[in-house]
Amino acid sequence: MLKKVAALFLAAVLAFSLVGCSGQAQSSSGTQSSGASSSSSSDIKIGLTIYATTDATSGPMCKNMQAACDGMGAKLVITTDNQDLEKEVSNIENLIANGCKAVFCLPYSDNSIPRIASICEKAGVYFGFYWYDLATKSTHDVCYNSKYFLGNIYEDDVWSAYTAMQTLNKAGASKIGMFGLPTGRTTTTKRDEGIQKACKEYNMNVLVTDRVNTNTSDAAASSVESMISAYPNLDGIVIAGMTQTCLPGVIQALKNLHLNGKVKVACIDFNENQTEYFEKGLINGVIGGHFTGCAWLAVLAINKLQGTPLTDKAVSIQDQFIVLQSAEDAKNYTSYLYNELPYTKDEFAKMSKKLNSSFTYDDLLKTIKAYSVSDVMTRHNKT
Amino acid sequence: MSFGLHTIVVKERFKMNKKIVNFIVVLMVPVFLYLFFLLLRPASFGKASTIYIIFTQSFITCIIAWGMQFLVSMGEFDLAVGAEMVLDCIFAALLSARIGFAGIIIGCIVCAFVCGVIKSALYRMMRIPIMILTIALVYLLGATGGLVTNSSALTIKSAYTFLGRAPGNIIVFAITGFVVYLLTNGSVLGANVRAVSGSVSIARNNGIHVESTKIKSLILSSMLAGIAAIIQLSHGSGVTPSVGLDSIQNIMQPIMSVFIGFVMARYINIVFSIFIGSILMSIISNGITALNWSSSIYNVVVGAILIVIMAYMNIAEISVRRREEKTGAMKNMKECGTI
Repeated sequence: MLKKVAALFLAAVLAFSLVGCSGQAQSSSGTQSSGASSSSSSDIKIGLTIYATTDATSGPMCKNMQAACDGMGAKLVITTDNQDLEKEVSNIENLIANGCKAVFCLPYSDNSIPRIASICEKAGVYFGFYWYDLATKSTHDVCYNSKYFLGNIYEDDVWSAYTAMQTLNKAGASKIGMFGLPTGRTTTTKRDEGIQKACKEYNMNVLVTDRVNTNTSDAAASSVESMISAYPNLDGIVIAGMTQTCLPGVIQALKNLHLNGKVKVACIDFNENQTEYFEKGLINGVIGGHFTGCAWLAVLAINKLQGTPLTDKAVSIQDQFIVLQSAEDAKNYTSYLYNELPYTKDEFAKMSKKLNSSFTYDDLLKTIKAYSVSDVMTRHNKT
Repeated sequence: MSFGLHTIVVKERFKMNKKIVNFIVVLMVPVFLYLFFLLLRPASFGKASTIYIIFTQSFITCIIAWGMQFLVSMGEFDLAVGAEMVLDCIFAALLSARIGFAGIIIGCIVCAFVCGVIKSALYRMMRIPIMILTIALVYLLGATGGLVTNSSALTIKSAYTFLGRAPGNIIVFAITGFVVYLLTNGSVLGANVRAVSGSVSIARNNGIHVESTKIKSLILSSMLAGIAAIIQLSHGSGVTPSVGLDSIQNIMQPIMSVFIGFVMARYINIVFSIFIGSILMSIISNGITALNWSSSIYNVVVGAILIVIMAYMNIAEISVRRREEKTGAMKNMKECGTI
């Protein structure tokens, strides 16, 4: 009897933990806001699948998309996939089954795009990608041949990686150890390209690359120790992604080796501790803040679903990175873009053509292009 | 009589010489592997600091492997150790934010103990293979860590990280090694584990409680994982919650070290042979970095070594069994007067 009870208990705990592992599916409803507001009851539901919801990049991403949905009168459902391709695809299917009329994701492989497009087309659901440039012809054609493809928001990953290397060069580094993203993604290809471009221009050299030990601090710390041991003349480290998880380990390893300040560090993606690291002179530059992409996709989708599309065609929009190169930059970012939102619900409400008929696609592009810390401070009267 | 005494002395000296020879034979394996990489990258491997890095990077792997070896020798695999370590680090990081450095020690050890007790209690109730039980626990423990931290990474203060570098990590490792040596070679648990690993039925017939031995080994595995977690958290200064089966990847190196340790245990004590196995893993890892090969090659190399070792152990086991059967058959035939 005890055995049966224990078996049932364990099965229930396993089921619970599987739900917990799959992340929280958060839903919210559109709320009234002052000024131009949407109607209180809205049946527009959009879905987002993302690797996490609480770190220094994904957290603001979700909050901004939430603000967009709240301001424009839509519901948002968020699921997490921990960068697992199969999980991402099943999340999309679940979001569609949950009633989402548009779903957004970051494809973890070019090969997944035809699958995602097929699922959405069969369900008659709009889809779009954030942080993703449709650089290859095959993936571009698959998406643009689908009437349900809304668009993709991408960043200039060549520029971001180039800027990170430029930061290291300005700090005096030329022999670089690199933490890179896994291969097979356009983002990886672009960032590698940017790094190589900087190497040629500034006569820098990537001595060693690690694409595996980026998911935990301890693994990153061990990797740095091995890099320094193998290449004692290494004077710079560039983290071309997954800064959220590996930067603390990199900094700790450099401390243990008494190389803080001697080995320069620049990264792509923000980390919760970056302000402290800047204040102590442990890092030289961070490029990130690219968390408004999902909000722009939401603006496109909600306008479309409200019957007032901003554009008739699928679009590919480049949004902006934010570059932090000092403690003051980091503090301003934290105060005005992280603790508060760069765009309020009211500002997003004005992007709904249903509520503000004068808003156009060109206005959206201008807003996206102007994105920066100083822009936010000016708009919110913080200067 | 003097001839008999001389014979005993010669035999003892022969045994000692054999032990020394065996030790040298085993030691040559990492030495040759190191020399291999030294030839390929003399600038990297020809330094004392590289040897230091190789040693210190083997500590975490080795401590986990020491904990796993008790169960593995009895044919059981505890796959939840990686997830336990992540959870230990999470609670340690949260506790250290409140009570300082002591939180790291208390958090890791207490969480490890609780995980060990839970595992043991479930094993006792369910009586299913430990591997199946622990696979389920991997999900549970990972989900618990994610819920507690809201899926965000945690860091500890730099001032609390001294156990992640010399001499802190060396002291912890040495003390742990001494305790494991005593447990393996000088304790009732160690003797019972050896008996059960030889033959479960014979051990049971001789009054050894097999399930109790496995339960104690489960708890010991968790406690040693807790100690490894202290060094790991101090070394990286941060922890990221694991999801799904990701944490199993963290124990692949320790499992490899255990298997290599078992192969070498024919020559030297298992505690030292597992340490040698951990060093081999560390040399390979550093060698691949020094040669700037793709990190994926490490997985290929480790996988290939694992297959070779498993094949070797399988063949050796079959060979021994056939020899025993043949010896048993010959003995029976002699007793029956057939030969």
